[in-house]
Amino acid sequence: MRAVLALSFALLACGSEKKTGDDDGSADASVEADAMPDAFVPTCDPDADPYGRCVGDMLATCTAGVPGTIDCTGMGKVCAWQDDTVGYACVDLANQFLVSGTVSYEDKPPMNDGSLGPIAPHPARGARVSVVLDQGSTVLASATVADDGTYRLRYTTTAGDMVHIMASAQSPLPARPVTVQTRQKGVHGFGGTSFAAAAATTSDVLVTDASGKSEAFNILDQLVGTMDKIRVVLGDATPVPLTAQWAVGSTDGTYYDQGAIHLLGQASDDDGYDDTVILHESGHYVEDTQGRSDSPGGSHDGSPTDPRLAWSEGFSTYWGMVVRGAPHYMDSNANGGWGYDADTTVTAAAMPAGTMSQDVSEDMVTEDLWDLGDGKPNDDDGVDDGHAAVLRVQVDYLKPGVFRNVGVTGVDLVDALDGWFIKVGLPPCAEARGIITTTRTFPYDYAGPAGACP
Amino acid sequence: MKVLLVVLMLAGHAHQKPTAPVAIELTQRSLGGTDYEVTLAARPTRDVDSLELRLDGRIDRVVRARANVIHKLTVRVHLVDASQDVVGGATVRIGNLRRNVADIVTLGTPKTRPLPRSQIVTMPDGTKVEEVRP
Repeated sequence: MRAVLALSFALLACGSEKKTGDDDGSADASVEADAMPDAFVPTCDPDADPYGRCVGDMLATCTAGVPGTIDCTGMGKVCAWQDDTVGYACVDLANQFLVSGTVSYEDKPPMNDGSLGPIAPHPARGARVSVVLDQGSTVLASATVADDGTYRLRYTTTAGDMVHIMASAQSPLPARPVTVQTRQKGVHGFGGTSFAAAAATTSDVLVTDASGKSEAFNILDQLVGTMDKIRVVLGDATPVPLTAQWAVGSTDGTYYDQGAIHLLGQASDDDGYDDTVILHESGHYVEDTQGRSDSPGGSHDGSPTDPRLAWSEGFSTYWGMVVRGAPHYMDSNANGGWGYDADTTVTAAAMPAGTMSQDVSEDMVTEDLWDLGDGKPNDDDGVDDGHAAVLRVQVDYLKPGVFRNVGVTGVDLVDALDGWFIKVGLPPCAEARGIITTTRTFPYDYAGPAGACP
Repeated sequence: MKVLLVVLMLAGHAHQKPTAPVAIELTQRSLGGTDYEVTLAARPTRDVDSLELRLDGRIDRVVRARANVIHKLTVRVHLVDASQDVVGGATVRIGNLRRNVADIVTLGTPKTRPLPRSQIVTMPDGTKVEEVRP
C-alpha cells in the first residue's frame, strides 16, 4: 500500500494541498506514505484525464480531485483502453496485440505580443488514436490519447500484418465532444510509420507542422480545454458537441456560428496556432449552449459599441483567459500580430456620468471580469472560486433570463454584474466598486436584485 | 432574394474575432518585366493616436490619424525569383490599445505549394478521416 501511494504521487504528477507551513509549497513525491503528516491531502487536476490513463501497467485515475492508481499486473491484466464508456482500465489481453506510445504535435505557442514562438512538441491530449491496417486502411481499434500524450491500445489481426497508428483531431467521447474538420468536412488525421503486428509494440507519432495537420491538433487541444472547464466549473458532464473548421488556406473568416467555429488558415492570418483566438470563439459556444447572448453580432475592434455586443465579446475573451489561466489575448498575423493584457490594461467607460446603457468597449468588460475573478474579493476560505463565480453567472443567472429593467434590453455587463452579486453577496461591494467604477468609470448602480451596496 | 442572402451571410458571421479599427487594401501594378509597384492603403475606422504602415520592410508612421482618412505607402519591387510574397500591414494605437492587421500580395506567377497527399480512412462509426502520412 505504501508503494502504491508513493507511486501515485510520482505517476499522476499530483499536487498536494498542504495545510501546514512549507516555505516553497512544494510536495516531495518520494516521501513514503507512512512518513507523511496527516495534514497532507493528495490532489490531482480534476480537469485532466476524464477517461484515466496508463503508466505502464499502472492505471492512473483522478476522481473529484483525488488521485488513484491500480496495479493491473496484480490482477493478471494489462492497462489499456477498454472502451469509449470506461476509458483506460485493467483489461485482459487474451490473444490480442498491444501497442503503446505517445502522440504529440508540433505547436507554435503564442507569445504575449501576438507573435508565435518556435516549434515545440505538445501532447495531443484527447485526440483519437487508431490502429489501421495498411492494406485497405481498415481501422482495427481506437482509443483516446491521455492528457500526457500517452496511449495503450489492444487490437486483433494476423501477426506480421503491416499496421500503423493514425491520430485524428476528434474527441467523440461525451465528456469532450470536439471535432476538427477540413473544408470537405473530413476529420484531420495524421498517420505514423508502419510496423509489423506483434505481441507488444511501441509507436510514437509526432504530427509535424510541415504536414499541415498540426494546427488541427492544436485547435482540438484548446477546445478540449473549453470542454474541461464546462464540465468542472459549469457542471455540465456532457457538453453539446462542438465542431471546428480549419484548413491551410482557409479564407472563410474566423467566427462562431450555430455550434461550429470557423478559423482562418490563410498565409496573412492563420489562426490555427492562435490559442486565445480559438478560445475566444469557444466562449461564444459557451454563451450559446450554457448561458445566453443577445449580441447583434458584427465587427468589433475594442471601440465603444452596443453593450450587448461588448458583453458577448468581452465575456468570450475572458472565457479564453480563464481556460488558459492567464490574462492575455494574442492574435498572430503576417504583420507580427498583437497582444493584450487584461490585468494591466485599463479601458474606461467614455461617459462616467452617463447611463448604464452607454456604448462600452469589449476590453472594459474583459478587464472587469478578470479583475472580479482574479481578485477573489469574497474569498476568505482559501478556496479559489473567483473565476468560477464569474463564469457561473452565465448558467445560474443569464440563462434563466429574468433581469431588472435597467441598461439595454438583452444581456449586457449590467445584467452580469447583477448576477455576480447574487452569487457572491454584498461583502465585496467596495472591491467591486473600485474595479468597475473607480478604475474603469462605468456608472453601475450597485442596486441589483442582490440588494443595494452600502 | 439578394437581401435575404446578405442577411443570412451576416447572420452566419455573427460572432467574429476581435479585429483592429483599421481597414487595409494591398494592390499591385506591373511596371513591365520583373518590376512591380505595390501600394498599401490603410483607413482607420475611428480617430487613432497613431497609424503605422508596413510594406515590404518599409515603415511609415502617422501621428493622430483621422477616421476614414486613407493613408498610402508605395514600394517598388524587383522580382528575383518567379514569384514573391509581399507583406503589408497596419498597426493602430489608441491610448494603450494596440491592434494590427495584415495582408499578402503575390507578385509574379504564384508557386503552387503542394499539400501532402492524404487518404480517406473510414472510422467504424462512418466518420471520414483525411489522413496524411509522412
